[in-house]
Amino acid sequence: MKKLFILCLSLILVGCSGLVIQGINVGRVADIGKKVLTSGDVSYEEEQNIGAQMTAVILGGASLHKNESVQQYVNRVGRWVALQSERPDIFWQFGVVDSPSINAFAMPGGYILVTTELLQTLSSEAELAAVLAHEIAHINERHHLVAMEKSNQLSLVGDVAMLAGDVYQAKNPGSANSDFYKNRAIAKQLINTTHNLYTKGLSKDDEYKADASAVVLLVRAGYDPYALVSVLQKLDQLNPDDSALQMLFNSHPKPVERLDAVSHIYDGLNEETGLSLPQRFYDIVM
Amino acid sequence: MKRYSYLAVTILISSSVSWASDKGSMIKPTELKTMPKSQAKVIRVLKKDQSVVVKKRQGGWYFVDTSTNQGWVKMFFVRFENLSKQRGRIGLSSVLKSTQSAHSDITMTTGVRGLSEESLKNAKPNFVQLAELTRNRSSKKTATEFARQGKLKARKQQYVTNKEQEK
Repeated sequence: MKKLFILCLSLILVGCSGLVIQGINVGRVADIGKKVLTSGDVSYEEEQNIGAQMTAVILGGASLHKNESVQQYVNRVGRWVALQSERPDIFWQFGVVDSPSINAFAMPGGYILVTTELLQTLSSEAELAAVLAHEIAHINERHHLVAMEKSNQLSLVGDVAMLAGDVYQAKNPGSANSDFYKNRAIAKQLINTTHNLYTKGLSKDDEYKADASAVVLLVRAGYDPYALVSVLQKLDQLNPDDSALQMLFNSHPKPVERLDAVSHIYDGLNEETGLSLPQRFYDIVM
Repeated sequence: MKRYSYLAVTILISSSVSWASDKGSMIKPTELKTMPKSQAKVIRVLKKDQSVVVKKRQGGWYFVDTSTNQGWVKMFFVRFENLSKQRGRIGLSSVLKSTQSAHSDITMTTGVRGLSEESLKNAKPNFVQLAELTRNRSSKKTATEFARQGKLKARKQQYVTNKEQEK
């Protein structure tokens, strides 16, 4: 019966080829529906679909902050920085979630979330841009897909293509949460994979690379590139036993190690100055 | 009103290490310089663990006070004092704090509601919130206009390889 349902769902989705929901080509994703072998084989549609599902899981743990001006502001800063990257035109979207944890999350395909607590730890637009640039770098370099490949979880990308219809349900909020994920095995794997990726984190090397790329993106976007150092020094000041930092410190190298690694990047910059824009940040965020 | 806003932000910048402590120490012997430039004259060499108070930042340099001298040191060589768990909170977070008490799902053992390792394990996907996220996204045109208003200009910069990491 379950198999029959999945078959029917597949046929329905294939039938709606070309249907685009929230920027995701549902028909094409379902069409792909095959097992993926390497991270290099993952199409943008697949990447975005798995990213959407993971983002929905994270948003199940913390809701979007209600202040729309703050949401738009973070989206504008993020999009401007992303425009300077190698993937300027993917479906970038940024959000602020209510949480007393200090953290930021990047999901495949262009989804980035920062917590309210992290936001209030910052003191300028350049520092916000630094945080977002680090996350943008993870997405551009497809670090999460590579991590999934290493842990033999990449087949999930193909499997969740079957769940593309769940995104469609978002159009109808009444049914969004009541009946999601007909295929419970895939759903369970998705939640487990998301949990593992965002609690254990990426490799140290990926974090150092994202910091190095963030410095470059800050320069390209016209921001003060030392804003990243400022953010890392602030994180270094915090008590590592503080529960607000539990996930961040469990999933990233220590700030002092990141500072040491990123310090070598600054010698190679064309420009060491840029704008900080503390006033604009203060007016909107604080 | 605007004057108060400028005053507030001035306070924020003048303690650019601001929300936190501005007390730190040197992580290695460091030259204290008259200006924030590598070629600037050296006032003296600060010893490792020398206490400093950071007054301001310019690029990759902090202007510090050692109680006997003032001058510029490289930002990377300062480590700030650890902060206690309780720190001053402003604006957005105080609003957040006030709303949290209304929730019954605060985990007292960790003090973290939402996005703890445990809560993520049990999270159910929220597609309504996902749709809301998408609704707020910025177009290329809006972001470019926003950058122009802030006087941000795109610049060319190649990626820099971290040779130290490759060793």
